[in-house]
Amino acid sequence: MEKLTVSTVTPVYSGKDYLPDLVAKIEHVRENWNTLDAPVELIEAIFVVDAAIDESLVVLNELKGDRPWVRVINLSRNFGQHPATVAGILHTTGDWVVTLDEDLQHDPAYIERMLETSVFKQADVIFANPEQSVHQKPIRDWTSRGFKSLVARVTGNPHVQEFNSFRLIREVIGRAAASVCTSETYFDIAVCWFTNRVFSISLPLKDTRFIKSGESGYNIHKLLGHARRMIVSSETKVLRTGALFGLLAMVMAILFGGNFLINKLFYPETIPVVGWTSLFLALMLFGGLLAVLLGIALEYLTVIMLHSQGKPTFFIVDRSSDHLLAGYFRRKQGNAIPDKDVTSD
Amino acid sequence: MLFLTKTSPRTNAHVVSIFGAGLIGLAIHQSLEKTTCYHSETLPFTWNNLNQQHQDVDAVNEKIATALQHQTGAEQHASRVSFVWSAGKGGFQSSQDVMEEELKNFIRVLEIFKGLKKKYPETVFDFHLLSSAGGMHDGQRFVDSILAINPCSPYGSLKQAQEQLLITARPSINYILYRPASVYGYVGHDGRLGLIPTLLYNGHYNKVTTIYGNLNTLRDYVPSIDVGKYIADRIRLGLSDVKEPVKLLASGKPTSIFEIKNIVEKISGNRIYLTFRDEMENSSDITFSPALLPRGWQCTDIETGIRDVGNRLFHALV
Repeated sequence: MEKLTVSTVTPVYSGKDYLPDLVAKIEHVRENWNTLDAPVELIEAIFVVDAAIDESLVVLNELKGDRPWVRVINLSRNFGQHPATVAGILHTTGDWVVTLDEDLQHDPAYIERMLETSVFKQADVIFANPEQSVHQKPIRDWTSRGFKSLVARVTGNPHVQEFNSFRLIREVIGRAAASVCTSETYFDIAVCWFTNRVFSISLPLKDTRFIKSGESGYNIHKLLGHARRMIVSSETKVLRTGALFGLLAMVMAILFGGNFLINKLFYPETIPVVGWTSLFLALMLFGGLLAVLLGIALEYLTVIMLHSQGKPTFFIVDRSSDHLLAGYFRRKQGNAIPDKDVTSD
Repeated sequence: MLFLTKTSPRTNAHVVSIFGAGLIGLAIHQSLEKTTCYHSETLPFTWNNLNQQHQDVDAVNEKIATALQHQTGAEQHASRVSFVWSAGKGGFQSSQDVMEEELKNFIRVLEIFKGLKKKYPETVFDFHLLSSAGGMHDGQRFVDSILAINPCSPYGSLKQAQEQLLITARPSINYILYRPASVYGYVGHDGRLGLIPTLLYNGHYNKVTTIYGNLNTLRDYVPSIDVGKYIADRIRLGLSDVKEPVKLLASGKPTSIFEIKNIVEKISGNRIYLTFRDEMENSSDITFSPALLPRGWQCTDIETGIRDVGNRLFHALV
């Protein structure tokens, strides 16, 4: 039977306490699909050790001993979670790639649900979105959501709010995005260069490490770094808005200037204070002009930046093999999902 | 063919005959020359003209006899002759006729090898066969067993037949089979240029490159220099300690043509223009599990490898 294949990628930094359980859970998914003779196989679990600060590498080497499907990639130094994810994706060989955190925040048991959603929505990317508070600390969750919302507005990319490190990506899309990523590219933004078939599903995600210890891999410095890379990797909508404001200021300055000139020539007695209006209009005109010119220059810069970062002109994707999974999921659901829910190219 | 001899008075004689001076043959030759004191020469070896080939074979036999003649008794017992088959103009698109002709040539070389072995019973004879991972595992993803072969093309069948000829000759022949994945490198413009040098070359001249497949085709790319070095080490050390005679020479990291294109653009600073053709489609994915890679095999990462090829190619173009 023809089978689709799934690879998992997990960046590892300080997960020695969680890795045995994570591998066991991935193994359970793998064995479950084998037992059910599902048309999908979890062929590899790739762990990218990003200069781990604990004994994660030792633990992983022990775990892979009798599990040939577990692969360990050891990065030469700490590059960060996104570069580690990119490295892992470039080493995968499955039709679908699932990225998971090391700390069991993302339960591999949900991979099947994500696959199911992707197949019926003909999606290329599925992000997991938390059903409830991830950190059980309202301020932490609110900051995270608010931050994403702000970046979504600034960049004009609505998918930003769905971004999550628990994601299922069609391999060709993930590989293509990973291959164009530089150290300054935000991986999920690069994914959106290749597809807009991006969806999210609500899952019960919980950052148990943060809840128990109060420690998080993210601090304000890292969050700002994320924001910077998100903005640098995006077409910034705010630039166009700025240029538009500049243009509006110029038009208003010209209109008011005309009005002022008529008043000056024909009704000079209506101008009580001489000089103030012309000074204000000159500032408005040249300020607007500067904003427009700066907007154009930055637009050029954005085009060059995106080009140098590898934003493609076009990309081809083949979704035809999804039908293998669609049949499986329909059978599992007892034909609960009607045919019309599945769109085809 | 490339002929190397090591006849230092302090060491035992070693003769290496490399049949096929292509990308891999030259890489083996360069690696042997770099690290050991071999005397090297190029001998004519005709493939199409049988009469001429007989004369060439006589010349090779004479060369080998000369190299071994000073060795007697215990010395001759320790002398070695290594045959390396890295010849073949065929590829995935080659027809059955071309492949049959190539098999005949291989059988003739194998007969020469057997004849020499009979003639010098005290000498150790090794046969190193360059097979093909792609040919043997056509269209397979994440190959995790070297036994799971699936030759689909005439080229794959040829490689299987060549391997079988050696396997059935065991134990009378010491042999080793190398199955390199998609090998890339640059040795000049005389032979075929592979995908990577072609992209670099066409990018340099703003030419369009035709891809017979698609951007998402996954392959496992290995640099010819690494393959050459690994085989040269096995040639130098001999095959007496080789327990597993099949060596998969892959990187274990699948790479798509899209990635290759991006790396080439980044390295060369040139835009790469591509056109795609469906006929002669060669778009099946062929990837390998890293668990199969042999001990001692090291593969340079794709970006460094492409940089190296780029340096050689651009240096040659200047």
